[in-house]
Amino acid sequence: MTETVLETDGLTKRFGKLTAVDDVSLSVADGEFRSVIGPNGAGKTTTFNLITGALSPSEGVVRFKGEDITNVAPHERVGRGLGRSFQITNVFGGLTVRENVRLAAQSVHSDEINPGEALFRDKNGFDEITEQTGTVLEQIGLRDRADEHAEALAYGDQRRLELGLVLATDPDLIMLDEPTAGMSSEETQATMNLIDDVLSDRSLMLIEHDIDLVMRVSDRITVLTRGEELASGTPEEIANNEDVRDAYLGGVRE
Amino acid sequence: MVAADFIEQLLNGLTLGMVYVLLAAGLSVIFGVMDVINFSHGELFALGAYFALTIIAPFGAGTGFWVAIVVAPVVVGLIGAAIERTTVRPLYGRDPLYHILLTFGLVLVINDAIRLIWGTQQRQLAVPEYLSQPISILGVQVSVYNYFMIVFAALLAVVTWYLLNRTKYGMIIRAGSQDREMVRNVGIDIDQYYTLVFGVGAALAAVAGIVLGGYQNVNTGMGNSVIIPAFVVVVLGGLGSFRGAVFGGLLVGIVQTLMRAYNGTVLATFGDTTLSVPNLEGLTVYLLMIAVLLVKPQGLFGTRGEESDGEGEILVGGYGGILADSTRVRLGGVAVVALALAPVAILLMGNQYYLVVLNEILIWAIFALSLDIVMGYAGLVPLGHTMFYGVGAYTAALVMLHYSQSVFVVLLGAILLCAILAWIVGSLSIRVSGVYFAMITLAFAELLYSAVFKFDFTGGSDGLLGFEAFIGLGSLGASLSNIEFGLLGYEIGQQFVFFYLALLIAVLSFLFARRMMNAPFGSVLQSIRESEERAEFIGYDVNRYKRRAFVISGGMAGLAGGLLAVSPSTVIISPDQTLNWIHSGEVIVIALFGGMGTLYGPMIGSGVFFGAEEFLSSYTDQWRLIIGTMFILFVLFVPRGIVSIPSLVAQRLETANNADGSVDMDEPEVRSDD
Amino acid sequence: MTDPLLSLEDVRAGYGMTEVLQGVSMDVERGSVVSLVGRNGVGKTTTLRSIVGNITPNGGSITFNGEDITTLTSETTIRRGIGFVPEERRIFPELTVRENIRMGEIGSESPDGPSVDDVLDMFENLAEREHRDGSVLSGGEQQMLAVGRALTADPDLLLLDEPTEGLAPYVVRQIEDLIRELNEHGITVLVVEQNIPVALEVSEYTYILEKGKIVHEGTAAKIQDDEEVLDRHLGVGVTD
Repeated sequence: MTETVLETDGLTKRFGKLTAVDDVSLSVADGEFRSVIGPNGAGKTTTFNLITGALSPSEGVVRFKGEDITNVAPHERVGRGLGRSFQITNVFGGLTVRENVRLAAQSVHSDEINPGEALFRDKNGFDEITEQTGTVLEQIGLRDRADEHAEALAYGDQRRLELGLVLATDPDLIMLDEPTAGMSSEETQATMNLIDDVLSDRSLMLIEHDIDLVMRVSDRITVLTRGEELASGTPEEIANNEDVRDAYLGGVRE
Repeated sequence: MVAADFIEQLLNGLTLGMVYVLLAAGLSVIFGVMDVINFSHGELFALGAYFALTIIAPFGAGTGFWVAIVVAPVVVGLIGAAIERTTVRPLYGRDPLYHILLTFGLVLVINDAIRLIWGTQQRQLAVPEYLSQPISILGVQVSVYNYFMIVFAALLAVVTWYLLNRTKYGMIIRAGSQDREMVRNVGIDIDQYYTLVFGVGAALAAVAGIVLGGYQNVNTGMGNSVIIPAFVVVVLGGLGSFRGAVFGGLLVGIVQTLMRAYNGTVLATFGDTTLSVPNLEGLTVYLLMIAVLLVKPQGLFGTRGEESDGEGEILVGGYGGILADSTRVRLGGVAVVALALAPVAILLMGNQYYLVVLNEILIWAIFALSLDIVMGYAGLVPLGHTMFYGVGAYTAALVMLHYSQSVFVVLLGAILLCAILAWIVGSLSIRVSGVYFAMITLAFAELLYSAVFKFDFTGGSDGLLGFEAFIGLGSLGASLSNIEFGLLGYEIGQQFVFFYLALLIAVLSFLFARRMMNAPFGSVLQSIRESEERAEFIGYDVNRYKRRAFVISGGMAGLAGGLLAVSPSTVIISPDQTLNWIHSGEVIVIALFGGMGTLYGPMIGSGVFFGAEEFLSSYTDQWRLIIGTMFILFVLFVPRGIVSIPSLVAQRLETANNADGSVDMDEPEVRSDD
Repeated sequence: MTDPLLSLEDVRAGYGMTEVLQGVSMDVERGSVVSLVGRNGVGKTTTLRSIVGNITPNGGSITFNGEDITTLTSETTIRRGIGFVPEERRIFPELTVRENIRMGEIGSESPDGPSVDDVLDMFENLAEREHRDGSVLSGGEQQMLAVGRALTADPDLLLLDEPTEGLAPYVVRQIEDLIRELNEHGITVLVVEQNIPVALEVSEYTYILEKGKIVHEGTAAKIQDDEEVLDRHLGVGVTD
């Protein structure tokens, strides 16, 4: 039986009178590629933020690799293996590509650095971190541009770097927040290929608006509407689901 | 009669309160609409009083006063509008830090301009006879002027309220503070109104200055003495809220006055213990400000939510520099060697005074370096950093007086105590961000400033003296003042010895900071400056790192303060010399001048600042005016500091060769809705 | 044939590095009601913000009434005769209903537009709440207020960004009626909607936006009947 890497139970978030997320219970299996879609106001981003720890729930529980992480701080969730990428590239613009990746790698090796070393040892003097940095740079194809400043990169390369940051923290589950926003079809394809290349052996949870993309790459899809879970299933099941169709098209033909 | 007494004090408090209301109203609305923190508001206040002096002169006390109270605010209002147009307007969209810097520069310029035009002597504002009569109503005795101030200011407040809430322009301004972009989207150019807001705010401040000037006197320090209470009021009442400014102003005025009047009064006696009003005068308002910032940062009436930071960034100096790292290291080495030889040159010149200046530069270089750690690297902007400098100095002096004169012990004590202080202050302050963080650190600094006046062991307003350092440990070594020997016919004295001590410490501090920035800890700080959110989400406990950076920075600033106490030029450690908020501003100016985020930049900035001060003050009394102007120009045009000048020049030459468009990087981010 | 009132040609625009619009071309004929639809995130709001001048396009051009407005500031563009009702309405929460409408009047260059009282006559429920702060109004009332505010400027073109979002069905009907009525009075309307039935109901011509480009356009009637197009671009896709 496959392990469940992520599970939410009755997850609810209220902002005053507005219930943004209402009793969402989903579970993602180890190695699965799960996408979350839904029309405007569905609560996708809020759910996402509840899982990554950016928001705390009004009710409900989040379990990661079997452990209750509902009250665990965001940075600690990363340490446990829950990685997250950002929608609009949020890389460290003024730092080099290499430094960006190294910082991410460093964060998961921090137990191996004692306080004295943290303050005084040259940051490039930690073999394991340097090695991992090199590996990740290779995987995202930015080894040649490693010494450029991140903000000087083209948009597509910044996206790669963003994925590199996630990859370097060696996560078991990666939350991807609209990774292809603002991209052309070609760039989207390239990004998805990259995700496929480097992240395919991990569990992935994707929020996206690009339905074509989602249909193509997901193992399972969860559809949210008005904060509630409308349906979950394989792409074929979702495509043929009348309720889902109505949610998007609003019952066009009367 | 106790009751009459109390009412008198209440009236006094109300009087002061109304002055605060006028000041805070302008300050608050300016922030609410324009997102600008105007430090120069105090000087505009003073300017009002000074212009009044000039206007009254030809008219005489009677009519002159009334003419002045109408004309002077108009003049100051126009000056305010001009300031907005020329200096504030270009800075929209930049990190709020730059407004703070700019308006601080304006403080220097305006204050020095006042000294230049009107001289430094205290003056009396001629108030009409009939207003300065004492008057007794129901046993309560105050001056007619008190009632006049209260009524007049209240009238103005009502008029301002009316303008804001019942006129077209007021409506536009209110809309602008609620949703600036939407005002544009209905076809109104909101920028034009900023000038109006700034001008009216300045005029109100001017009226407050005239009114208070008549009550007390007119002096060059009056702006400085009201600006901090004004900020307290604004924070209390809520940034952007007119109602809050009124409430806060009256509250602070009354509380301040009552505490001053009644401190030490015995309230009750229980057997052996007496319960009396604690001597908290001066401290209460700052404690109140800190409490408000921690519990409800938007103030009692404020409605603005959490800041929209992330729209600006701290522009750092060394980024994209044209010099290679190895060249910089070599240049650094050359600089150190040159400095080490400088005293020799000075000796040969025969004038030891320059050595004193160099010593000052070294102390402030360390202070500025400490600031760079939090500001240029972690991206935090503290407005109260002088608290560590001051506490370091006081600690060092106290250690020398009571415990040990050994310079090692003294400096270590200063560092440790400041580190602990920084841990406390930092833990509380990092709970808020942006402008609120700046304000809360300022409040802590002011708290300490007021506190040292009250205690005997800190020497009160006189400060501490009679301390002396011992270069050595235990019985090995010599007292600093005793070190004197001849060498090749020249006299080597304590200034000399201290110089090398300070140089050594400065170099060690720099190397320490540089090592730290190249180590894992420092690298994380930089990532926080670049993108706090991202740093959190690759697994770093951002708050912990900020706190630690603050502690290290505080400790180093304490070291600088300790050196000040050890320095042979220092005879007294007094509150104004070490803890006055103006030093917090100065060290930020120095760091910006040099170039933040480089470590060596702020140190160079110290050299430039004091060097310029020395050079200029031998030619003119108005050196602050010149430095202030230079500084404003830097904020506007060279925000990355002196160290960025070479690459700026290189860039200009390059764009002259190929004209290309620039990528607009300042647009706000959008999220598709969910 | 007269020139379209509004014309976008190969507009590229975005935020910082993200180029959301990757070459959008569309025309809005004088006197028509045109809808711009697409799933969320495709760039519908970005399109409106580019027209109005909140964003300056990186490429392409926008023409209004024969004039190139591509690089004009928001204030200037609005004064050319465009009324903008943004997403989430953005009425001024601490101004009264009357003051909100007045703001629109002040920003107008045209002396012929409806006065504040005229607008209040148009919207009964707003007249009842004339002196109450905008923040106490219901969603539907705020929507009406936002439209009223735009109308006082006597616009030739009205831009509506998701006017029915978060509103109850019967209020949605009211909005639909309002759009039709405004159009009958000669106002050209460009409405962005995620609610497909509403969009197809009120408009004559529809553009479908996907991934920053127009992928389909046609009369609303035709699109309404074309299941394949609907599924592919607006629904959850077709299974092959």
